[in-house]
Parts: sequence; structure tokens; C-alpha cells
Amino acid sequence: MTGTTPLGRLLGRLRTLVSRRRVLSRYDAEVSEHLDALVDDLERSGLSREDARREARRQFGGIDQAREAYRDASGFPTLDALAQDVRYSVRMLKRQPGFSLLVVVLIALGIGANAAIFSVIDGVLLRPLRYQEPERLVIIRTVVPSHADVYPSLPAASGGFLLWQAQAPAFERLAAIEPETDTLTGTGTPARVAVARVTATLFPLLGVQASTGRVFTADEDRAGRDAVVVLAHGFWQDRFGGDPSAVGRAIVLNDRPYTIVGVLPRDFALPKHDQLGALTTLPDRVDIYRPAAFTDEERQSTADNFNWIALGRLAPGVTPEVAEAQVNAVQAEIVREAVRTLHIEPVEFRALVLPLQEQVVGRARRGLLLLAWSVGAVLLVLCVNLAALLLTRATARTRETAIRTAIGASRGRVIRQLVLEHLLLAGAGGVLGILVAGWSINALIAGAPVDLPRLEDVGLNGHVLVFAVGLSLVTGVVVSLLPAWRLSRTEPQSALHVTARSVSEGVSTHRMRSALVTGQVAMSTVLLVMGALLVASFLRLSRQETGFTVQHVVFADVALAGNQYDADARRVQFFDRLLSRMGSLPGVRTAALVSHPPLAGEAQIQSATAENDTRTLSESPMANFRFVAPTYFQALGIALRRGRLFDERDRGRCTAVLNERAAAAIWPGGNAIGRRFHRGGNDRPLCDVIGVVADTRELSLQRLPSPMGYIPYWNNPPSQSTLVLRTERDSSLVASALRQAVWDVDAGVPVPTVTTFADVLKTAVAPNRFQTLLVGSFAICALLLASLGIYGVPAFAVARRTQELGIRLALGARPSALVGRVVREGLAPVVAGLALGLAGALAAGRLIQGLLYDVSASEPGAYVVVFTILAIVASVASYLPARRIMRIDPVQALRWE
Amino acid sequence: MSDKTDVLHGALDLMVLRALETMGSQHGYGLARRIEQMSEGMLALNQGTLYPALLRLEQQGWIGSRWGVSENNRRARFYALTPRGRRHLLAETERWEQISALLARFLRPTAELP
Repeated sequence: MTGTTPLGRLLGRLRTLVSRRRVLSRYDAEVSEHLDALVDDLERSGLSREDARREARRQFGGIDQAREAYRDASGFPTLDALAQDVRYSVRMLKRQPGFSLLVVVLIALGIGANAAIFSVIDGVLLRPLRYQEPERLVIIRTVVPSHADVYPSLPAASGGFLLWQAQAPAFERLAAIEPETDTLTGTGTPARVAVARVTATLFPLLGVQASTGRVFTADEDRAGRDAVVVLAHGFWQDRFGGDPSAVGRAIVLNDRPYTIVGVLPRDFALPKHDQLGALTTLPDRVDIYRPAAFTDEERQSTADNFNWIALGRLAPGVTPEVAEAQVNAVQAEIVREAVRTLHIEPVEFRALVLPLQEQVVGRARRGLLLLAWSVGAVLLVLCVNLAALLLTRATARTRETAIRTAIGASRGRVIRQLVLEHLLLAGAGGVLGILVAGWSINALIAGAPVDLPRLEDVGLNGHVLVFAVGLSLVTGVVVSLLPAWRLSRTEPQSALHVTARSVSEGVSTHRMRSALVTGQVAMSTVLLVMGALLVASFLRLSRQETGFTVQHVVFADVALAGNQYDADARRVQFFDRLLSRMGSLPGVRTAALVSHPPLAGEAQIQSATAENDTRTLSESPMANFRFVAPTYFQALGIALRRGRLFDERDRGRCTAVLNERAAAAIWPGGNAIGRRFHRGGNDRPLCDVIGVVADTRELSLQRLPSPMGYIPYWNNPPSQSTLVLRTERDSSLVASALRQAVWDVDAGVPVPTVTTFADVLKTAVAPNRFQTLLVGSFAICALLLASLGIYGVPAFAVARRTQELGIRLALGARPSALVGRVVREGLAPVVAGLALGLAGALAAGRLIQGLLYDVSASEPGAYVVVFTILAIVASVASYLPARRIMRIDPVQALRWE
Repeated sequence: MSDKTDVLHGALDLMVLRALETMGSQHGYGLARRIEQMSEGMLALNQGTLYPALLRLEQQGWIGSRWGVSENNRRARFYALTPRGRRHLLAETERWEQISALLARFLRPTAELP
């Protein structure tokens, strides 16, 4: 080369490209002048004008070739050829509109489904949390050995938190949050509001500033200076209509006045409680934040009252492991101190430092990844089908290709054109797929169970668009590989020699097709096994015995708000009257009350220490306590095992009913009836155990029964409780009567929702239903696609061998024998795929074990079911095309050529 | 593009540049004539191939062109070397001389090789 720089050449070409028409007309003018001059000279040398012209042409050479070369030099030949190929491809695709549309729609569905699942993965797992520098945020939880079997970790204790703050330099900042429910007065109607006590460090730690007013100062985080609150945006909208002058106004929480100093931004929210680990009780929506301002007692409390959500921001460059080591040094000091002063046995009292993002989304990861793999597998199976389909098309176009090659197209150009054609299809599919993804994302969000974190971050955004476009390009290339391979093996001469009919599949193509089927069947088998396992798990969970009578039971939440119910006696009076009214409602068999409804998770967890038990508080058994009406057990069909249930005699003294687990935990191996325990600490009054009831799945459907303690409501009247009604017939009919009964007692008490126990159970299995439904549908899609592939092998075999089969028939072969042979050949790759798939499922099953309820990942039943389904589908799919052999007319088959 | 045509392209480019250097501004026909004369019949140039070469050289910025009137009162496009083209010609000439010297050494009878 002559030392040309690529950039210089590019710029020069760009210059001439934009004015190509002018450049070419310049060429034409120059050449005609050139020829005229040449002719003149030749004439002058003695030639006739005619001869001079001929000689001039000869000397000049091919005018058109030169013009073409000129044209090429003035533009981008590759680009021109590409434009040509695109036009050609579009023509080819238009020639078979049905086929093209089918391929585009299939790709659109595949890409759409994948993009939709990706959008969930992106929003939930991949995107950083919406706080400042979220990668440095951590949550600190404590591990209390005596509870580690039930609760691997607990929230933090306030005293411990303060020690970490003082002694762990790994943290740039630490913040603590404790939720509570307060009565709001002094503005509009009284209400129960969700309040979070937070250290003043919380907002700077998360990088949040007030949208109106300000957040807390460090000074306000001290008792006596803490009469200030910051409002959540939503609460400010609802309660103050978004009025900026709300800042500076006073409100009253639990009879104590506070000044509003600020409002938080609209998009700010703390992670939900179930995302912050076991035993955190943060409500889904916090209304009001007030300074933590620890009390003296809280400052000392290092090893009990694990109520505080502790968040930390690591100093730059510090790993969670380093922070954890520093926190554990503090914990070890706490234990040494306790051993010295309280003379207890040393215990291991560790703390965990986890990245906040991992804590929030970690539990969702496995389920989402399963969805991603499933939907990806469907696309892969689809690609295999398309590849087979396009292979057929490429084969049918062997002649066209041969002609193009023969008249001078390079093989590369032919293949490039084919790939381009497929990329156009995939691109169109991708664009349509983005629309599909848009709809699917909305459907996914609407149908997603509430326990999926960060759904608000899921949407059709830039990431998803890039993913969809990228995936469609990859799809286009992947489906092109095989047809391109086929084309690259086309010998133009042989393709042109033979007659059109004979241009069909060779043996190697047939073999390739079989290999594709093996792959498809293997992938579908894995998916089907996953689906079957999830279905089995879902069925088992749906039928899980809870220990409750579910039929004809409704729940209704009742919240008592306002100062008039501050006194325990007033609440007791309200519930007394309400229960007697409801008990006499027509159609109501039993009316009861509970402080926290079944299957709604943990609440009111307290230690239960047997009388004269000398263990420390952190070693005492823990139980979930419920404050109930005596009729609670009857309403929900909880069987009494020993002793008796509550009655009016128990008013005025502390009595308790335990479930069998709680009794066994407090008095291992002994009888609990008549014995006494402290609820919530050795300094609290003793309660008599009067009865033991059967274990129930009170906390969650999935978890084995936990220790439960029941206390009569009059001993500890809750301000928020749930009415439990067992009715005669259809329980939904009593909803309005129930509301009326509540309002008859106090018209100011709202009854928000009435739900049936059956609906509660349905919600409890919703996450499993969601996952099962999606994976199951993906598996069925894969099966359908694979069955098309299975169908293809014998179908093409019959088409390719029509002549041969005709000869065999003419020679007297039995049609049924030939059918059997073709079916067997068709099934060979299926059997191989099935074996591979079952083995693969066995290996992959371990990965989803954690998603299964009461079902082993190697459950033979699931494998047998999948095997049977696939065997039936594959047999039908291969028999249908093979049956065509029966209809082959030997005479016609022989004339085929 | 094979290497052979590349070399030829390079050779033609160099001839054009050299011709323009000695002749000053010249039109396509004159250039073709000049190159034929210089090659003394050793090169049967298809005159048509000259024009794509001229376009390429112009795209590189080594020559410039403008319409003018030829000695026979014909409208013709005149090409002239640009300063960049002049520098390029110098560099290329040196390179060609090196290559031809090298080839000459290689093409000497084997016995004389060191």
C-alpha cells in the first residue's frame, strides 16, 4: 500500500460520497473530453474518423468498468453491497409473508418474555438500592446462640449499638431504627400512625435530605431535645394535603407534643420489614419519624430488647468482614463483662455485618434466577426450532444460492446475505418483543406476590431495551449458524446439475436435525422436571394441615384510636361489649378476638422463663404471645390437650394457655399445667399455665409450629386486634352485619377489611403459585416447541425418502413396518435427549431444593410424570408424519423425479 | 483485493504523482500520454484506469483539481500536486528505491549472495 491512513481515506470517501452524483457526472465529462482529445490526436496521425474512434475506445479500455471502479472509489463498496443485500433480503422475506410473520412473532414472544423477566431481575437484583452510594451500606444483626435454631439472627440491642458506634471505626456512620405505633392527635381526627424512632444519623447515612424543611440535628437525638418529627411524603400528602406550611406546626403523639421540622422526598422509603431479616417489625409504610433519643435504660441494654434495626455505612475501602471483626470484638467484651458481673457461663454472642442489598434482595435471588433460566431455556429451544426451520429454507434455496455463486457472488457474500435476512427477522421480532415485554412487565408486576422486594424499581427502562435489542441480535446470529453451515457446503455445480426435486436434505443435515432434537428434548425435560417439582411443592403447601379450621372463618381488623381508649379498662370494655354483640349476630357460631391474626408472621415475641429458672434472659425460651378471647380456640378449632381454656374466673389474675411446643420448651419433659412462668423477663409477674393446646401453624404456612403463648385479652388489651368469626354458612355474608356490630358499639371505629381465612391461605401460597405458574408455563412452551422439533425429523425423513419408500412399498414392504422404522428413527434422538435431560434435572434439582416445600428435588414421582408426558408427546409427534407413508402411492413416488 | 493489484495501484499512483511533479498542472489525457511516453511502450496502460486512481489521490489530499481550458481550447479538469502530495511523493520514492534495491539484490545470481 502507499502509506494511506485509514482515516484520511475515510474522510476523502465521505467527501465524495455526499456528492457522488456530481463526482460521477464529472467522470463522464472528463472521459468524454479525454476520448475526444484522443480521437483528434489519432485522426491527426492519419486514421479515419471511424478508425480513430475505435482505436480510442481500445486504448481507453472498458469505460463502464472504469466508471464502476470510479464509483466504488467514490463511496463505500461494503456499504453499497450491504444496502443491496438488505434490499434483496427484504424482497426474499416479502416473498413468504406468512413464514416471515410466523418467525417474527415467535421471536417477539421469546424476546418479550425474556426481557420481561430480565426487567424484574434488573430492578430487584441488579440495580443498586436507591440510596446514596448503596454499595457501602450494611445491616448489622446479632446472633443469640440460644435462639439460633429458630432465628439465625436477630435485630440489634440499643446498648450494643451504642458500643459499636463508639468502638468500630470501620463504619463511617451507624444508625438505628425502632418502629412503634402511636396515637396521633392535635390534627384532624385521631389516628394510629406508624412511627419510626431513628437516630439522627439515619438520614445522612442514607444520603437523604428533606424535600421541605430539614431532617434531625445531632442535638435533637437526646432526651429532652427530641420533641421534633419528620413526616413521610405520603403521610404529609394524606394528612396535610401537601401543604408546605405544615412544617413548623405541632402534632401530638401519645399525648406528647412534637413540632414538624421537615418532610422527606417522595421517593424515599426504608426497605420493608420482611426484607430486613427475621423479627424486624417495621411497617410497610412509616408515617412519622422521630429522634431515637435513647433512654438511660436503653443505653445500658446490651443483651436484651433486640428491637433495633442497625444500619451502617462502611468507611471507604472497608469490607464488611473487617467491620464484622470490629463489631465482634465489642460483642466479646460485652460477654466478658457479663461473665464478670453476672457470673454467667461465657456464651458466643456474635454479630453479622451483611451488605444491605444482599439482605434486602438475597431471598428473592434463587427464585428469580430460576425464572431467568427457565425463560432463557424456552428461548433457546425456540432458537433451535427456528434454526431447523431456517435450515429447511436454506436447503430449499440451494439452487438459488448455487446460481448466485455461479454468476460470481462470493460464498461469503451469500452467507452474509442469509445472516442479514435472519437478523432482519430477529430485529423485527426484537422490536415487537419490546412491546410484548411492556405488557408482560405490567402483568408480572400485577401478579407478583407481595413478598418480592423492590417491585417499584421494575419497569421497561434503558437496561431492558438494550437487553432486548442485544438478545434479538444474538438470536439472529444463533439461528443463522446452521443454515450458514449448510450453505457453505453447497457445491454450485452439483446443485445446478441435479433436478430441483433432488435438492433436499443430505444425510449430514438429517443428522444435524436429530442432534438439535436431542438438545431441545434435553432442555425441555429439565424445565418440565422443575415445573413438576414446583407443582408438587405447591400442591403440598396448599394442602398443608395448619391445625386450624379454615372453613367459614372470617377475619376483620379493628383499630382503636384516640385518647378515649388509652386506658386498658376502656379497651377491655369495648371488646367485652363487641364480643357479646357479635356472638348474638344471626349466622355467627363463635365470635373471638386475637391480637395478631394467624399466618401473619411473628409478633409479640417475648421470653418465657419458668419460675426459679436461673438462666439469663438471652437463654430463656422465646414464644410468640397472642392476646385472645376465650372463644379463640373454639372459633379456629384448636384442640385442647390438657387442662382447661380461659373463662371469666381468669379475670383479674395472670393465666396463660400454651401450645405443646411452648410447654415443652419451658418445661422440657414435664407437665406444664399448674406451673408458673415470667413473661418478658424475670422481673415480670408470674402467670399460671391453665391449659395446653395443640400446635398450629400460627406464624406461617411453611414453618413448623413455633412455641405459642395465649393470654386473655383483658390482661393485656391490644389497641389493634383482629376479630375472628366462625359462621354457620357462607362467611362472606356476615361482613356487613359485622361492621354494623362494631359501629353499634363505637361508631368512630373503622373496620377496614373483612377477609376469609381461605383468602388468607391463598395469599400465603401466592409466591409459590406465581413461581409455579411461570415456570410451569415456560416448561409447557418448551415442550410444545420441542414437539415441533420432534415432528420435524420423521416429517423430513419421509419427504426426503419418498422415492425410496415408494420402491420399498412397490417391492412389497408392509407399510406399517416402514412406519415403525421411521418412528423409531425419529425417536432415537428423543430418547437421547430424555436421558440427558433427566440427568441434567437431577443435577439442577439441587439448586432449587430451597424453593421446594416438603418435596425432595429428586422426588421420583416428578421424573416419572415428566418421562411419561414426554414419551406420549414424542410418540404422537413422530407417528403423525410417519403415518404419511401409508398414503404413499408407489407409482406416483417412482414418477417423482 | 490481492497484493498484486495493490502493488500496481501503488505503482500507478506513484507514476501519476511523479508526472504531476515534473509537468505541473495537467489534465487526465495529458497525464495518460505522459505516462505512456515515460514507459516507452513497456506499459500498456488502460487509460480508463487512470481516473479512479486520480480520484483516490484526490481523496487522500495529495492532489487537487479544477476545471480549466486545455491547449486545444477544450474544457478539461486539471490536476496538480498539493504540498502534502509532494511530501508523500518524496517519501514514497525513497521507499520504492529501497524496495527495488532490495529486490535487485535478491534477484542477482545465487552465487553472488553473501
